[in-house]
Amino acid sequence: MSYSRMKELEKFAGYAKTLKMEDDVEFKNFIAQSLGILELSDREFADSLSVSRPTVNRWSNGRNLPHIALRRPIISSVLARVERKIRAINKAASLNASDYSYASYPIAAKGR
Amino acid sequence: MTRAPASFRFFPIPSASAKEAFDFHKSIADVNQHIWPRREDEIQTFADNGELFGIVEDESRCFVGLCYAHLDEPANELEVGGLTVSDKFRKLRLGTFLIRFVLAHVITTELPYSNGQRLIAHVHDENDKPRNILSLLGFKFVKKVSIPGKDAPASMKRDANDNVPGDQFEFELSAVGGLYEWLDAKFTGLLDDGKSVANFDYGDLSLDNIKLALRDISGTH
Repeated sequence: MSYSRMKELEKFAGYAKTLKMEDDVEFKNFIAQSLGILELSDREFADSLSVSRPTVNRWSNGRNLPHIALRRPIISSVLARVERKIRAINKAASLNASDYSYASYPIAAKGR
Repeated sequence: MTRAPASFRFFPIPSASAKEAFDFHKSIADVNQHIWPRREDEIQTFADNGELFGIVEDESRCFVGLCYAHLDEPANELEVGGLTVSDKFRKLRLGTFLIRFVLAHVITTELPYSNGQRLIAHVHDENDKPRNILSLLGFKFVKKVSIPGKDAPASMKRDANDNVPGDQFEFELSAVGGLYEWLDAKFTGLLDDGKSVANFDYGDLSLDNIKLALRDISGTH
């Protein structure tokens, strides 16, 4: 589950890095996908960018879009969140792995 | 000991601060018959939608200025309104700074001119303070408006015909250049007294990116 989630986030991060700023349709799709991939409500997403919730709705359906000069910082902000999520999954995975190694030793010892 | 200069933060108001924002709005609207008084749930909705902007004095952490920007999609009108500023700081011309902050934000995040949307404001006939601010910033008078008394809050001043009279102003694309030049060349991060600090908080979007966008928009006409 975590592994597939991490792959999904990594794939999205790679896609975000290749976006063409001037392509309105690509940007609109990126916003719509960001809401899903980050598992954020439109309000949380809007708050994180200091814009209004209706603004995010309009961006995601392409009715109004931000100026090209603002698209890079918006994408960077999303990427930073994606990377934080990847780090959190990695950290949780490494903690689980160490839990397993500590827990398994006494059980194995008891069996002898 | 010398007192440190005052500092003020300009920012989009989050939902959690809507109650304080409402209390500030009410304290001014209650004693000014030219201001359209908003109910608490209306201010909450503006904040929930991210359409409410304010100024907080850093030392007291109190609101000293407020306004909203709402895009009426069916009408194709983006309205900036509800400007209220604390009398205590009126000499610092916080209202002009707040309107500029909001204009720069909505023009660059919504691109109203590319979508055929007008950027407008309304002012009561007898309310000279915001009228002067709007003129200074490049808003142009469009037309007289008259709201039937039955549709307006009881606190608002009526004319002889029991209507609430006012004017509509518009911030046209041709005025964006002036806004950009002010932000780029005149705005130093200080208010008009040359001492008090004005922090324009655009979050991750940043003032530099907002300026870049405004420069481009103003050059497109």
